[in-house]
Order: sequence, then structure tokens, then C-alpha cells
Amino acid sequence: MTKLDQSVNDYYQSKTLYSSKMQAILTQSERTRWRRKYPAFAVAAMLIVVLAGTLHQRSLHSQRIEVALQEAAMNHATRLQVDVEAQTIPSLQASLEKLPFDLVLPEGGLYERLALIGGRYCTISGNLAAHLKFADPGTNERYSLFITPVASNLNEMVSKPEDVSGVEVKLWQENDVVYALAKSHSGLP
Amino acid sequence: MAGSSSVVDIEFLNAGYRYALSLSANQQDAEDLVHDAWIRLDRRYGKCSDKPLLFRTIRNLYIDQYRRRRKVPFSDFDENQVEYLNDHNSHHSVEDTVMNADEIELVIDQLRDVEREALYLSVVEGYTADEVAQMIESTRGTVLSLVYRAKGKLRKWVVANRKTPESHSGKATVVELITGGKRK
Repeated sequence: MTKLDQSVNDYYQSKTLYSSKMQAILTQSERTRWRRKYPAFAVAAMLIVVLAGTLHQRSLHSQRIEVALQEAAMNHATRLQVDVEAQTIPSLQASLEKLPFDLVLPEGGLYERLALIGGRYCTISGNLAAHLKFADPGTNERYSLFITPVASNLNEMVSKPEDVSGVEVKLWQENDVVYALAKSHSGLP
Repeated sequence: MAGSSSVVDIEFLNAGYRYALSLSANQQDAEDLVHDAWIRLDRRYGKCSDKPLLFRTIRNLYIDQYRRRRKVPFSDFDENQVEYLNDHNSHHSVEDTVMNADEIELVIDQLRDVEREALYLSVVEGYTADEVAQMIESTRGTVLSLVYRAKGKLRKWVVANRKTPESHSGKATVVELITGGKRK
């Protein structure tokens, strides 16, 4: 480096920001860096809240399914007398006149080979339901079919067959109707 | 100083300020440039950890401001006022001249922006011509030419003032010639 270059270098090296200006920049810089980080924290916090909410909803939903399964199992297991004896669905519907919904059997051929014994009023998760009792003429096994319309606390009620206190119960939904099928002993079809 | 500001931050800020000063030749403008560039990088990257990036940001801001203000570029050093120094020996001795800060400022203020920038990046920051060319988006040849012209103007100023030392009588000589120095 020549002395001329050195002079230029020395000239520039002598130039520094005033401390007040330096402090102003660094102070604003700190704030800016924090603000830049803050959205990440906000998004993370929001995700946690959403995740927690979702998990909570799922937990509530699981609890509702569990309650419905237990009620269905209990209703089946207590072997309460039917309110009305009937061999056909239309006659049962006519007898259970307080039901505010139609008795529609779910899809599947199971109920064609079962014999309807009768039905009674019951509740599933606080909602009025019909408890239909069937018997398998071949094995004499008893089935309970619960029918109730979809409600705010009875929605998306779907479960695989579960053993609840020795009763096999499953929940499912068809066309805004919630069904629960319960059977003692061997598994459900 | 603000909480977690590091020595590196302060070093970068001062380097950025000097670079901005080499572009604008104005203290207030240079302060604003480095301030704006620093905050812009904070917003974009969270931290300025790369000096060339800081310089590039300052340069872009300067160009933006230049366009907005339609500022008239610095005029060339008046080459009619000072004769070109073609004598190699004289050239050598001028290179060994020490100029004080006031003198440097006086001459540097009269350089074109691009010359001042190239001179700063080359002489003060120590970047090679290739690196400077990359930074200012130019060619190596242009950079070498700019630095050469900038130094030439410094030399011409020295020679002009050395030739007329009486014009500065009453003070220490404006240009102090150091004799016996070796040119690197």
C-alpha cells in the first residue's frame, strides 16, 4: 500500500458513526429483530391452541361415543321388558307413537333373518331413541338395535365393534340416523 | 448500546457507514443509508451477518435515492485546472505522499461517486478488482480504470498543490511530501 493509499485508508478509518446514531440504529434493530421473531411465536402459539382445541374436541367426541356405547350395552344387558311387542316395523312404529322419527332399519341383510320381538323407548346420550329387540331364530341369540336421529351430541358416531362389559356393541350412522347394535357373547356380524 | 449488540454489529455498522460515505460523500446521507440498510436486513434476515450483503443493500438504497432525487452526479475533477502528471518519477514520489484528512476529504468530495466507491472498496476494504466488479456489477477493467482515475485525481491534486506551495503559506503545507519513501 502506498502512502497515498494509506492516507485514503486512514481518512475513511477515522470515520465512524456518532455513538448516538449508532445507539439509535442498534435500538431500532433490536425492536425489528424482536418483531420479526414475534410472528413466528404467534403462529406457533396459534398452532398450539388449534392443536389443543382439536385434541380436546376429539377427546370429547371419543367420550361421547364411549357414553353411547355404554348406554347401548347397559340397555341390552339389563334385558328390560319391551314396551310393545311387534313382529313388524310398521306395527312397532304405530305402537311407539311418541317417537318423533321414523323407524328405518339400517342397510344390510341381517334384519331379514332376525325376528323382531318388540321395542321400547329409551335414551342414548339424553336423546330419545327406540330400542328394538331381535332374536336369531337359529341360535336364539338376542340382538338390540337402537335408533335415534343425529343430534348435536350424537353426530359422527362411528365405532368399530367394542366389548363393553361382555356386550359387543358398535355404532354407526346412516342418513342422519344413528344406530347402535348390541349383542351378547359372540361377535357382531 | 442496545442489549445484545455485538462488536461485529458495531464493526459492520461503521464499515457500512464508511461505504455509504464513499457513495454519497455526505455524512447525513451516509448515516441514513446505513440505518435504512441495516433495518432492511434485520427485517429480511433477522440479522446482518455479511458485510458484502450490507454493502449491496446500501448501494441499492443509494441508487434508489439517486433515481428518486434525480441528483446530479458529481462532476469530474476539472482536468483543465491541473495538468496530467506523466512523469514516472514524479508519479512515484506522489504515491509516497501523505495527505491529511482535510486534504483527502477535499479531493475525495470532488471524485465521481463511482470512483469514490471503487477507491473505497479497493483501498480501504481491500477487495480485489474482481470482487469489486462483482459488488458494483461491473467489469474488472472498469473497476481498475475507476480506481486508477480516482488515484490519478488525488495525485494531480497533490502535484498541483506541491507546485504552488506559496498558495498555502501561513499554514502547514497542504501537501506534505515525504521524501525517501519507497513505492510498494
